[in-house]
Amino acid sequence: MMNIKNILSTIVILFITSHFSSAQTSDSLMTEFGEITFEDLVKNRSQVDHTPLEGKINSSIDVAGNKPTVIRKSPAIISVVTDEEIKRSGARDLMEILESIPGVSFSVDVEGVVGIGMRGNWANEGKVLLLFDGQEMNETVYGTLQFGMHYPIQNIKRIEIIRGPGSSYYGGAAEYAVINIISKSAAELNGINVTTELGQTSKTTSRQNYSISAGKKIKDFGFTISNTYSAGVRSDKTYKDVFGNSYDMTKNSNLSMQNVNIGMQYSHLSFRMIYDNYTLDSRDGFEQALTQSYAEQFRSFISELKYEVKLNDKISITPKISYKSNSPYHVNAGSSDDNEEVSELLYETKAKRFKAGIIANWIASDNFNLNFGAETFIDDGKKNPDDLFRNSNTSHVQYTNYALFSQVMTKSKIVNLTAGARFDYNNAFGGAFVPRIGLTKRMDRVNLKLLYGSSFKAPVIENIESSLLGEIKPEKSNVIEMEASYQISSKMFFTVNVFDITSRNTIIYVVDTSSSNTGIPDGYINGPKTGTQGMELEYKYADQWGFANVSYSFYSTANKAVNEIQRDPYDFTSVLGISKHKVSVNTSLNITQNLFLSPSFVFLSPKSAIVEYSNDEYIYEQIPSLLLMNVYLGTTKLFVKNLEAGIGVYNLFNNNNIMAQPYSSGHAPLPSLSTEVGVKMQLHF
Amino acid sequence: MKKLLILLLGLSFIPIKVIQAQNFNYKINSMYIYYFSKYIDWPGKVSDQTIKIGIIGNSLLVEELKKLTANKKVNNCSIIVEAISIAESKKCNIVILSKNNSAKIKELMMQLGDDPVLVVSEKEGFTAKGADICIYVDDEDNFKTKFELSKTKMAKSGFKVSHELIGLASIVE
Repeated sequence: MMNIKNILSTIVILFITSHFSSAQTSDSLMTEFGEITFEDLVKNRSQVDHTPLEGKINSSIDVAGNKPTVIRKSPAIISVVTDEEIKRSGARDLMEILESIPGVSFSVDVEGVVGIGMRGNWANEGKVLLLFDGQEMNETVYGTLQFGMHYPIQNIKRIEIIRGPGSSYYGGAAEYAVINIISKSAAELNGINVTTELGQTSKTTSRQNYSISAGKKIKDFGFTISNTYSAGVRSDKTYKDVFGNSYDMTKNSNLSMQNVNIGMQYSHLSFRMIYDNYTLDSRDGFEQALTQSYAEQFRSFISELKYEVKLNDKISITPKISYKSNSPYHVNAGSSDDNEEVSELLYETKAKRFKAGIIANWIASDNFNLNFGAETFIDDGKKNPDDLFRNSNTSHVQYTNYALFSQVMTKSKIVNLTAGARFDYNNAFGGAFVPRIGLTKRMDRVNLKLLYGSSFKAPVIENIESSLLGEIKPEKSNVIEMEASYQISSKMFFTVNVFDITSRNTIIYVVDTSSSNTGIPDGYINGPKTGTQGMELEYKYADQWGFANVSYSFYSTANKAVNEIQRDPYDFTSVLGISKHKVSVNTSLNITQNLFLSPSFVFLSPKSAIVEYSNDEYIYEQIPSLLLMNVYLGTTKLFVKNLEAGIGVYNLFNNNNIMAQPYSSGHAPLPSLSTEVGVKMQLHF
Repeated sequence: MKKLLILLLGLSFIPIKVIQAQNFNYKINSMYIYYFSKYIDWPGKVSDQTIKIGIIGNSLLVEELKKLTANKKVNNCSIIVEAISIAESKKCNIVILSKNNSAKIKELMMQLGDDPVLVVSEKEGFTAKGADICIYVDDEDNFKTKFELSKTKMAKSGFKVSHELIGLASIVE
């Protein structure tokens, strides 16, 4: 009887519902798009056409944990590179993409490693943070990133470059900038991509690249997996050290990378795993070139698990745990190696970082957003039992770090305000407190930003263990930035910004021959105050015919102190090895619906470098200004719909984009690759 | 460097002509206007069982709205759409002030006085200047067309606004 009642009541409900639905339909409007209700119009159908440029400058970015904000209103100075721009540029690696970003520079450190600089500040050892799908790629022994055929670009959806401090949210590796690389999601990949690339100079096969990636989204579950292998050479020119020794880099500057990236997501649970193995041939050593090259390996394994708990529409809590292991600068002596020579390079230190954190985010309204986070990590460093960390005099060290951070964002008709701070306490170097505040204002086509941020570089394992005086403090920077941007039309956008950076307790490596620490002639110290000032311009134009992105950046140390070891003897207002002016032009022209031509240029002003050692002193030389030009011809459809291909000529003028050491330590400039012809094919199925 | 800072500060104070950063899709706008006429009741009865919609300015909306409302009735009223001058605004039930005529809002409001004419502006923030409803494109939310309405002013003019409309407005003042 009850069952019959239930069935009857179900029928009644269904009847009422269907009647109600038909009543709703009578409220709808028949249009050329079909029947549309008012709710449907407001929520789903109201999007209007916009130009690609408008889409780009109004795309949202998640800066420092706040609710995503459109780029031109976000409280940071940001450059964004999209997958379309990467594809059309024909860029060979991440370094080539970043070369066109204002303020970014590359220089040689030691042992053939090329590192990054930002706005005239050498940032190699953990002062610029690279996030790949949210994972910190900086190794935790020295904090470095290594550039040149490293970090795969085949699956990138977009790169967000925050050209200013990011420590108040991201912590102690984001002192000068944050590079945030976001890969294509499972839905965006939706299938399998296979990419092959080949580059050839007049002397050698300069690069090969093979990449396969797959992704699929099935209801709440999605996964992506990619495997990239690259191999090639840094240069095919001759390297000459400061003593006049030389060797051909064609056979002594091999670079190779294997990178596996796996992402999985089920509802609000997500997992990421990255394996990265970068190997380079090192023959340049520290000062004097070696008699042969030695393979130097940087191996990383990173994994993270996180779960977003949505308490309601406005509050979410995300706990996460991660594990990272690094083995950088790893050199082993082979049986045939010259033991005395290789001892200079031998290095085997493994670092592990265990991290746990939780972030709570409250989006109270469109106008108010607050987040709060706490995290802790343990850095664990290990050497072989017969090798000791210098200061602890043990082969195993461990440091613990605790951090609390919070950001608040409020919008009002007068101004949008973002304020935040982070406090880190580390049992090795103490505390670091870094606040930030940002004011942004939009007036129709004009946007203004006034930003202040304090940031720090947290000493990592070797900074602590190889500190000359047995202790080291965090390096701290105060950065003031002002930006004005103007949307000239729906196709043109112009941005200008100025910045002022002051860094204190700069962590530098010095060779101190007068040290009282007998037997410890060199190490890390906190150096004096340094900094730079400068400006950056960006102009973007996009139309039916293609697009043009033009940028100019300039820095000066004129009103700032410079470390003695970084002084440029030819220009006291610039830093050794880093060009003061940079202009980059990236264009892409649509020839037909499927064919495009992309010329790009980078102009670098003169920079100084140590080139020789004579009469007990280094001889400096000013390297002339330089124009690098690439031309890439690509098609989005080669014979079949899903096959993309391109051919490029790189470094068309065969100029030598040398990597000079940005501090005085006796390393001669590293030459670049000569003119290269490269081909690329990508198949999607 | 100082000169640069001064230049940048100077740039921020240059008065810049305020122009909408994006183009409307008038098909979408015409649908909005149709639904406004449906979800708003005028004080008293609409004369001649006809809702008159006047558009001030040379807007593409005129043709789109004519096409959309042809042979349609709203609450048993037929709809007439025509381009008008400000002087003709009093004879309408709805007046739309096109984007490029936004500067005439003051003149329009003076012309209308206390008459129960629904004023729709195509400029964001114009409810503060007397419009009852503003339609605008939010380029910071995926270029969606949105509308704000002034509940207080509409109540004062005697309009009855349905909950559907208020519930879906992006800003209600």
